[in-house]
Amino acid sequence: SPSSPCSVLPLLSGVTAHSFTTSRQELVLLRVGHGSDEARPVQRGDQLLLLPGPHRPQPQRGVEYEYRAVEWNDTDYEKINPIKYVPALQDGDILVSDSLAIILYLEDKYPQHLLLPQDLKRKALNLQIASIVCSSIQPLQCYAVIGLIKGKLGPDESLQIVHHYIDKGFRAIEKLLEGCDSKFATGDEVQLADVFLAPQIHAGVTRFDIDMSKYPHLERFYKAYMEIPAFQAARPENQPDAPSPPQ
Amino acid sequence: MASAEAPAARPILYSYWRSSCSHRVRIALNLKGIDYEYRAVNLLKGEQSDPEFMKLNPMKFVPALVDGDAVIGDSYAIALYLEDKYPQRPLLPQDLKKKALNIQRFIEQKVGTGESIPWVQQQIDRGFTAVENMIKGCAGKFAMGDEVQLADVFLAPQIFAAVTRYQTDMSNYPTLARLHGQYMTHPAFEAALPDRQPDAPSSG
Repeated sequence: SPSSPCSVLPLLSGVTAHSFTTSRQELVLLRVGHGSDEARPVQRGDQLLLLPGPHRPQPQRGVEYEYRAVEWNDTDYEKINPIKYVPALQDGDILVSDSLAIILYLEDKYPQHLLLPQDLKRKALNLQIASIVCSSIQPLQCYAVIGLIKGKLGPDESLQIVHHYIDKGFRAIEKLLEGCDSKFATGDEVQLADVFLAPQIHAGVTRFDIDMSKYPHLERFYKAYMEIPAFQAARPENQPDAPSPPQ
Repeated sequence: MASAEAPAARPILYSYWRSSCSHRVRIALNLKGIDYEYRAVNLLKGEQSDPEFMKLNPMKFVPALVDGDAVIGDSYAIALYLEDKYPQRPLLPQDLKKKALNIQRFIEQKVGTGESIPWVQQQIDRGFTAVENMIKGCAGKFAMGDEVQLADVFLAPQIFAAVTRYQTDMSNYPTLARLHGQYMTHPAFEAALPDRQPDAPSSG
């Protein structure tokens, strides 16, 4: 497929519902691009990345993708992805939805910068943390946000539900990580758990007024995530469909 | 399931007979022929809040698996762990497209944690509609073909719970209804059914 506009965006992190004040759910359809024949230097922030062509041996630093934003009631999107969930990845004739399934697919297909360790216990811990976020926190948070938008829940009730599920999940994760003194959740390299934790903590802090001092490990990781270009580039406010900040 | 290796301790599964998440892991263990010790956690009595259990899974959910020094909560993490640790009778295909279809989850949120029945029914409808659309063209015996795969391990308990607890009208999902029939006669799935478990209430 033709190469996308010249911008390298690193690995997707679990982008889900957008700001509820815009009453719009951000759905992302991504098309994974394939390298061109020539190596292309690409500037992204303060990082200079070199995308190799197919015969160059340099390790790839990121997976280039096309970002497509979709609105709440987009019937075209429904035809592409009948599940209507966010995000979805289209890679050739493969369509994968569900953020965890997408990331596990990417893990197999693009083995640079593996997100899961070989050690089965640490691997299981990564999957468990990811699952707590994407099964036990985010969907219930989404339920509360949608309830508010549709007028089924009042603002206090909605926020209370969000706080309840975030607190339960974050406390459980803190327990699982008791005694952890590594830079990130399961080691000194970013792994799957971090990919799921970063957006959940970000949403908690920026939208739901979560007091992160109650979760010292997560608070420490979040500060570390803020410094990583791959995470910065993935933040909601940096996406093509983010609303312009108010003047 | 016959125990094959005497020296290694059997894995221990913490389960509640009726929990569909526990049900999934029971199916996976049975399919792989893994002998395991069943330890009941009575959710109605609140045993998931016992400090000892919370050490195993601080989310206070079943299932939890203890396998040697590995302690794992969450049915998804456990299933993928079993797939790696016990490669006999693999549940995931090598082909990336088929593998991706197997690991997609359509009903993500944990049900049975206090949400209203209409909300659960809505989630079931949304998820089942999506799965039905995806697999209705599939001519195989099971969800992804003629062999049982991970998708079946996750689907079977969801369909069972939808039918037995949430009054789901399966005529809206004919493929899933057919699969339900298959699962109900497959030995590994039958042995995993809630009412076959040690902690299921005896019938009158």
